[in-house]
Amino acid sequence: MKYLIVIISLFAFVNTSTLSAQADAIDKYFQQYVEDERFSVVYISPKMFQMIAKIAEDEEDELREAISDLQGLRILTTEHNTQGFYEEALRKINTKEYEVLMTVRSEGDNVRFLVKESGDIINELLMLVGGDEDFALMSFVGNIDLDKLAKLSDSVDIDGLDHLDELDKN
Amino acid sequence: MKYLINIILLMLLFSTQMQAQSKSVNSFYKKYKKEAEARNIKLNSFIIDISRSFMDDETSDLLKKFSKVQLLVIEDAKIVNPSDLTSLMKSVKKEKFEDLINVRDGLSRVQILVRDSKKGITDLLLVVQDQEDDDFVLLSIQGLFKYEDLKELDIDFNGKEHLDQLPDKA
Repeated sequence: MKYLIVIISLFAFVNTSTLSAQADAIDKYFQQYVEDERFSVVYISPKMFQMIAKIAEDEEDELREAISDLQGLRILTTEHNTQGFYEEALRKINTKEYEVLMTVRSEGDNVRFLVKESGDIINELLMLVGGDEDFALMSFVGNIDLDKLAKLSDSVDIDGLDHLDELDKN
Repeated sequence: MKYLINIILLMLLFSTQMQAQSKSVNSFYKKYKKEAEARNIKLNSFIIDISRSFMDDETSDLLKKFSKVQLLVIEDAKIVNPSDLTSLMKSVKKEKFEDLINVRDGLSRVQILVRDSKKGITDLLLVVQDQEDDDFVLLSIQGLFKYEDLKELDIDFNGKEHLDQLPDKA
């Protein structure tokens, strides 16, 4: 009987750990917009990053390392009510959990970088962009090294990711 | 003797699972290819081999890696029952398919999933729901290929431009 209980609890543990993905800022604060027509959503899975890392074999090790530690990238953007959503994001995001790393005003856009750390490791990098035409919320989840990530933005062609270059100046 | 037979049967079962197209994908095709607005193309390795002789070297090399290609295009996306699609996604994930990239822009969606083995990618699944043209596309490719090969894929169909959204090789 005792043996059975141990087996069942092990099973439950395995199930929940495979099912529970790391909840990111989008899950926490913007879940309702993920299916909202006004928004565009991009999700790049950890699997995708692993594959990119594999073909980057001829590239520097650093880049590969940066990529393979990434668990996922989610981007939420809209062209509607951009200032409103930006302010909503600023209000909602818990600054105790997400620390502001840097704020930049670049080409008419307000860009804000936030990180969620546990100890020395950055678990999530959040990028908020609020401009006249666009609102974007980008969330990188994983074991993040900022220098390596800034290098990543050169190789991966996704709109808005070029703001990551700002981080490199640190 | 009985033990040996069991082992052999197990091995056969295992090997056919590796080569077979996903059951859930199969049943989805079966259900929808009968629709009037549906165009269904199924290519097996024999036909692929023949068509290779009409293609340029690059494409021919690429096609060598495919053992089966199935393409379903439905010109009235409303015909597809959303719950059928949801359960297809759930089932393929149980069959070890993993998300690579999901993009939603308004009501248009693109999903790319893969299933791989140690040797490489064995299955690719592309689902496109195009709001503008009201198209639904389900492309399934089986074979043995690598991520770089996907970038060179040159099948001409509505929604193919979405494959171009896969980040460029580093």
